[in-house]
Amino acid sequence: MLQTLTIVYLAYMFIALYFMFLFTLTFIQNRKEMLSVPEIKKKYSVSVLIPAYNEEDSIEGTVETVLESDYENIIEVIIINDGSKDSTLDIAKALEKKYSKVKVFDKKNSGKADSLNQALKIVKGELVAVVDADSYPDKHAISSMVGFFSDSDVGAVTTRILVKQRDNFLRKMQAVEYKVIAFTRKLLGFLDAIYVTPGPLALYSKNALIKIKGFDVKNMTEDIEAAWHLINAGYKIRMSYVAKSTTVAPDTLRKWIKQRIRWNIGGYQTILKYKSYFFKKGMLGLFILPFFSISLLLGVFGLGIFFYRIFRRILFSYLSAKYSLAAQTAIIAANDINLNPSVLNFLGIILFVLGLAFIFYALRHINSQIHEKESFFSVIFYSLVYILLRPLVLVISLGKFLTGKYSWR
Amino acid sequence: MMESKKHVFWQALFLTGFFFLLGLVFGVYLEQVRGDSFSTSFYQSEVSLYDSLALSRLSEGDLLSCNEIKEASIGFADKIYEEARDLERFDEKNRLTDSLKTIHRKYDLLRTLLWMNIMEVKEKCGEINYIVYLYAYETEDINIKSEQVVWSRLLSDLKEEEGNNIILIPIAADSDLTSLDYLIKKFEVEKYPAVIINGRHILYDIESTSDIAKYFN
Repeated sequence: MLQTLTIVYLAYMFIALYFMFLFTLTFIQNRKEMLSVPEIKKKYSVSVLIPAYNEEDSIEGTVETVLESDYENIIEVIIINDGSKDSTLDIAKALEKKYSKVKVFDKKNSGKADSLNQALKIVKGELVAVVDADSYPDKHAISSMVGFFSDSDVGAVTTRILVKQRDNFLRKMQAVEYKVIAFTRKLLGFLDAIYVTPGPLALYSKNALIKIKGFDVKNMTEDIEAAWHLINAGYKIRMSYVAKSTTVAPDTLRKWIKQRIRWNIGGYQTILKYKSYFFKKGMLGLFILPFFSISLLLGVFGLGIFFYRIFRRILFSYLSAKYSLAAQTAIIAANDINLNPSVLNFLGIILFVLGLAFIFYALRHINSQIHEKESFFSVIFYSLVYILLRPLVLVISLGKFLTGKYSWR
Repeated sequence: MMESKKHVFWQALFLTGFFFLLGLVFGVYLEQVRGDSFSTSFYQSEVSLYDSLALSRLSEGDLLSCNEIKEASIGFADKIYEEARDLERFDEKNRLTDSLKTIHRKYDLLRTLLWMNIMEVKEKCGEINYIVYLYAYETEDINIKSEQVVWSRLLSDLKEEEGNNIILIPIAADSDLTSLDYLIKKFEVEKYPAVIINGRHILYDIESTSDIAKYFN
């Protein structure tokens, strides 16, 4: 009979292989449409919302980048000062004086979602672009996204989010990660399964946002919740793969963990909110919810198995050493080392190589557009080490989520 | 649009199922190949055992000396000891099939027969030192497993030190063999791992090789 652990390994392999085929087939069937952008049939007016909390270092650059956009019908750029304690408000006011389109909306601190909801009441544009105050959309980003709204079912459009500075190793890892995510997100778009409209740049139909009553103020990741809410309300989310918005990624492990914990807790909150739709109601219940939940579950469970194995190994080594000392015999002997690989090792290696090939292809595809390069070592380190940090943060996040020890800041 | 999307989910499932099954079939085949190579060794060992049993029958008629029987028994015991060690190294890596487990059981039966034969020879000749090492093969208990690793290493060292002076017979006690269960009952073995020396002394706690050697004739 197969051991429980063998069954678990085989189940993991099956799921990983399934998603590998799903993404590969989706790419093959839609490769000609990867870079296509619908023609702009109507020049919708666009209001840009920039929520800012203590963003004195980046707010000016973000606003100026938005103003450099080649989309002609940006009618206003609203900086929402969310009770910043630094000089964000002063810089925002100076920008308001300097540029006619810039407006400042000052309010007490209440979080990003509430800031956006309050600003939503005063925006004049038919489309609402949300841009994080530390992000920098391409000149062509908004113009490449507007055309998607020719389809009245489209509620939001996202674009490639990439890392702005790759000046340290952690940021290089995140640069690889963001690129792979951008590639797979575009593929998910072909399946009507984009599950997040990320903060560095997302363009929404104002009517769609009003219909879903804006952003969920209780959710730690209002961009995931909004995406699910829109899909649940019958809207589609599309992605423009030709443009990009760059964002400042965490430069230290501490900041990175903090950010990821927030993302994961937001993910848990969203799953809980929409749990009643499991296996119901279109792509949300049939794919996004299971896909999102399974990836969280596999991460947490996988880490559990990993630690269980490590713990047993350590205990085994400790006891063996103890008995060996008592018997006055060698603690380790050459015969103890068993280098015979199991069939599961072979299958695991094949799967890893396929995964690596997918990552390399995704990077090649995206790098050919933006003329960047990743070192071979970065990609290997990302695939072997960086990816393994995810389940660790997932477990910490789960602990915080279950004990209620979390806040937005 | 929706229809074509559904297609890709099914297509991916079909391809996954196909390649997953292909991988499993390949894995099972590889494990069977390993099993087959051990089957060949087993048949050879089986012949050696019958040869050894035949020799002890001859000794009943005083056609053979105790020394000749002892040498034959030691030679055979050493042969299956090495084969069993190799088998176990592969056995723990077999994840998909039980093919090696069956061969392992057959080896345990061979070693039980050897144990019985050695007891007869000892009764007749009286000058053989033998150690039966009874261990739990199926256990998941980490304490027992680590104890067994040390016992195994210790007895290997002892065998290396003593050479042809001792016969080492490791047997998986939980092989579900009636004859073995009877012998274990006869020796009143309480737990595993257990080491029976010359059919007289039963050790449960790990001791040094020099302490174990004190039990020999």
